[in-house]
Amino acid sequence: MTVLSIQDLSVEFDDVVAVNKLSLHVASGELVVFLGPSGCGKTTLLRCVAGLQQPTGGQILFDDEDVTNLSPADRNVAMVFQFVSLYPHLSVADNIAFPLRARGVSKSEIKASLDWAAQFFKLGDLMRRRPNRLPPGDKQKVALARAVVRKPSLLLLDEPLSALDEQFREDMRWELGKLQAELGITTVYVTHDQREAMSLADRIVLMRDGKLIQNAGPAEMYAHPVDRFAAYFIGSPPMNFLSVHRSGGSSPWLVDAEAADRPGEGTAVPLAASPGLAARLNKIGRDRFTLGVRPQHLGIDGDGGSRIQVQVVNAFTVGHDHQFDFSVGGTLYSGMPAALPQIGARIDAVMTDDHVHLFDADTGDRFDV
Amino acid sequence: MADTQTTTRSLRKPIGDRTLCTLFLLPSLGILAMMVAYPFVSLLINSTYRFSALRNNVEPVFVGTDNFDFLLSDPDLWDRFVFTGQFVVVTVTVQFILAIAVAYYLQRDFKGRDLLFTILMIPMMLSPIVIGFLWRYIFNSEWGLMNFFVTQLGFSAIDWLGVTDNALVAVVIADTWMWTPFVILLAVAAFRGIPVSIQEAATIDGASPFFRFTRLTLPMSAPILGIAFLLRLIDSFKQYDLFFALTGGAPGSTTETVSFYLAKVAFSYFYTGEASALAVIQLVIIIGLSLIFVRLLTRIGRQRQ
Repeated sequence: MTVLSIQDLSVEFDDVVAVNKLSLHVASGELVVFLGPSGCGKTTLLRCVAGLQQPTGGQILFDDEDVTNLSPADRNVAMVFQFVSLYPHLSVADNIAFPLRARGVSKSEIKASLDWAAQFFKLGDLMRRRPNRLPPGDKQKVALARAVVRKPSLLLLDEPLSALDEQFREDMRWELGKLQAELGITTVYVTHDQREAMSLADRIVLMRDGKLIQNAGPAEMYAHPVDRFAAYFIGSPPMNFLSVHRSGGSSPWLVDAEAADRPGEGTAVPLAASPGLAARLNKIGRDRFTLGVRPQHLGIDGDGGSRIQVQVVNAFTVGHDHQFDFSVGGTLYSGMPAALPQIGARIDAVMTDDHVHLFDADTGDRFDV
Repeated sequence: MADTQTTTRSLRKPIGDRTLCTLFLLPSLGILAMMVAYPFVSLLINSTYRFSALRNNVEPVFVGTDNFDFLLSDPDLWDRFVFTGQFVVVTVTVQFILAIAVAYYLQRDFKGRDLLFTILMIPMMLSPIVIGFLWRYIFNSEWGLMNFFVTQLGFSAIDWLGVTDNALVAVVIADTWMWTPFVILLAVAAFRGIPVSIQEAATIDGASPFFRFTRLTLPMSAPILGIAFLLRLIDSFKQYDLFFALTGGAPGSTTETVSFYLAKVAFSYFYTGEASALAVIQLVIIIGLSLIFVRLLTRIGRQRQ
């Protein structure tokens, strides 16, 4: 299986830098997800790996071989596109056989490959049909079969599930995971959906504005986001960010409205920092920073954690989870308590200390203390 | 409250959308009836009478299918059909092979594309009679441009318009010059209509440009190419003016197409009844060809749904 290395890769369109000096490494058999908001350059990066986009700088290596200037065909990569790109005039079987025929594979080998694909993807009844009338999930299954049937060195997936319904998506995600585990193909998967990334990836490459923000496993990325952007992008509902500043008054720390330009206005709420958090804050030694805590780690009336007294503006239950919202200086925050509070009640919102993240108020970088 | 309701009611549309559509269509439908339906019906009626448009004082005689019997048993007419068939097959084939080959290279965006396509359209916009006379000069065996090149290349001069087979080639060349750009334009449009992602998928699948062209681009363009083919087929089947200007049917009447012959019967001999019958025969053939084609195209379309 193939090892993919990207070194200092840049792609510049007329006046836009889509990918900015990005380097990363994908180990053999690994499933890596390029994650980021739209326009972050993740698809452009994938197209460079495929050979559909010529980078303006840097190198792409497959197993130490420089492929930067090779055509897509010579790279032996396979790709599944966001919008189904099956050949409409060919049957499912002919679609799957297309890459084999294009490479002049013998008839008996093609037949064997088709039998394998039909069995592996359970396409038995569909093989003779034309793709346009198939349900979307089956279409992507066929596209996947077409991609892997010739044993590519790399499998590239460009938002393959985003055009599918929720129900198909779950099926396909499972199918994809199984396929990747069974064939052991080095796989790069592009998506903007952090849930998809978290559930599929061995490793996530988080991108923003053409730059790599964080390159880590899903659990690591959830637990230790490198900056405010990573913290916000991973996890749902998104992390709460509280602006905290030091105060000379009776309580040493105040939570302000999000807007950092109005510290100390009347909206500030005292933060009763636990000894642990206070120690961390003092260690950093700044007067202002951003405190991040996920709703999952923000409850009511637990003991030990840091707390702020707030008024509940909204409380509801989604399935198994309770959620309450409160506002500080016009910004809405959410927590997920064990029991649902009354709307309008004044309560102590309590953070689980271990899961409080601290970021630089200006740069958004993580403080590792 | 009551007032508001009355106002709303009086604001209701005075006529429905369908009625409005029909009203807008009426003028063009009227013109169509005058230009197509009336001549068509009168053609059908005329084809069953023996009469001449020149001799208004002679009562037309109803002869039933006599006009058709006479025409279909005329060996000359069969020769005209054979010649027309030859012309149609050769000219349409040549035009399509040429056009698809050129369109292959014009798929991509390049500088001057719009200008080139505008120039390509010029031959289509000229009158076929003008083109016919231009090419007649070019093919002149004594001082024509064609024979200049032929002799420059070391061959002996060719009698382009005096020998039937040569004359056929000459007309095919002129017709090809005139109509290939039309096929090129449609072919390029069809090729460019194929989604980029499909071409990219095929590129990644390892298909060479030629493999992609023959296995994807051409089959996926089949519906549009099919319509272009049908149009060219019907048009060349009716070809008259180019032959009129280039060969005048000579040598003998061996380069007369069916339409040419029809024009002669109708406007040289003024056998109006027989000419009408021949026009009906021609119409039936064209409608037959079109039906076969439209069937084929819908079947292709349905397969892909």
